[in-house]
Amino acid sequence: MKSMPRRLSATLGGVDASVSCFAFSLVIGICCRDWWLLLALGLALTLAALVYPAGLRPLTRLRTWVLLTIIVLSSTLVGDDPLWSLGPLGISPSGALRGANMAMRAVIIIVAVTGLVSSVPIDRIGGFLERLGLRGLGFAVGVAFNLLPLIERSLVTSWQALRLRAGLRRPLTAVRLMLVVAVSDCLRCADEVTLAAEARAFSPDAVKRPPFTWRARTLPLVATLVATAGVLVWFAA
Amino acid sequence: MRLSLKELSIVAALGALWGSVEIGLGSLLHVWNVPFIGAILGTIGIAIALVGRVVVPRPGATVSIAVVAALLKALSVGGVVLSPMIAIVMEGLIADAVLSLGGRPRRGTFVVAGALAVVWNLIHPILIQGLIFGTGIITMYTSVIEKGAALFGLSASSVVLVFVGLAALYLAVGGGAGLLAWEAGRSVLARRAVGADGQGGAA
Repeated sequence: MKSMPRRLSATLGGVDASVSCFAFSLVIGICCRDWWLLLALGLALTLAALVYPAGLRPLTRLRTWVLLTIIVLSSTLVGDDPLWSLGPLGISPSGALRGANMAMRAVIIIVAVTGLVSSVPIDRIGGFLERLGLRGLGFAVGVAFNLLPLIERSLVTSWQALRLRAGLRRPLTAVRLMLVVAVSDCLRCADEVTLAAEARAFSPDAVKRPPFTWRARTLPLVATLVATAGVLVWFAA
Repeated sequence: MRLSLKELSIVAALGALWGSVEIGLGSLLHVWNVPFIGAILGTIGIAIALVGRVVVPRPGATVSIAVVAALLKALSVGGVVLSPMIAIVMEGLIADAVLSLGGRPRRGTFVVAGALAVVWNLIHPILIQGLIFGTGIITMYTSVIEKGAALFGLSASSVVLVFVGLAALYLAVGGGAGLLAWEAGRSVLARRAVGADGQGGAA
């Protein structure tokens, strides 16, 4: 009895489960309409709560709800065939329906994307892009992440130096100088990284990243999602 | 595209520079509610990436810098980062495509690359909203523009005129960023050459 939820959480906790749920949410969000979209929204939110709860975080922000309310309201006010109208504005049922569709579709996509981004580590994304042909990108992202505080400090120092030497009196020259100084500092950092990497006989080509694998325990989930998406798309089309 | 270790380090450092501008200055501008934030950050970012292309004159260098910056943008404390991430990558992709098709690096191709990359910021919100909300949002915008223009006694073509004016402004700013990047890139290369000579002489 105790091992069942643990097994379930292990199945739902992997990157492959997150990718499957993301793809499923995207397909049903794009293909369904009206009442079917409401069902799709329910399914997508349930999956998000089980697989990537962090994906639901945007729904706790006031900003998201303001955006969705504006979408539904403006679509209702400017829609076709209004029941009641005052000047260019009116109350349009078809506009309200279109607005509700847009809002539901937006919630599905926002939750799915946020969930995927929060559940897949940045190095896995780097590894995925490397496999797409951007070789050495994983290394570059790692180096960039470590250089970030150094570069920020260098930017602030250059800006203060420029300001104290009255460099801002000629804005165009100041912008050019700032760009040259900032890039030169970055290149100095890059040279140091290269020297350190060469001293350790590091080669980005020699780095082998683990391939993205589908676990056997995720297959029933994938099969269920594909079947459900098929049924939804069939009826909603 | 296969970059050497040195080129990859340069891509990483310049990607970190663009990323830190996006994270630091971007957050500040968002707090101040400055208009056209995307265009401002995009212009600075593409100038950095284009300087990177002068230093690493290889196809794919600009887009790699953009991808690194976009991945660092994911660390931003702000809420919604997906749209800016896509915008950064698209800017890098457009600039890289123009520079790769333009052949030998020239001032003109840098100006065109900068202009087209920055003008993406005008089209980007419409396309992204189209992706998220579906085609309904386009119908809604068209309806809002028609009714708004009618309310103020304007023709729908004047709205198009405003859009064209904005596009011209973005093109000019982007072109300026391209030119600035070309000049700054050459200055950086000259400084590096002097530095290398100095080291060589000392050795």
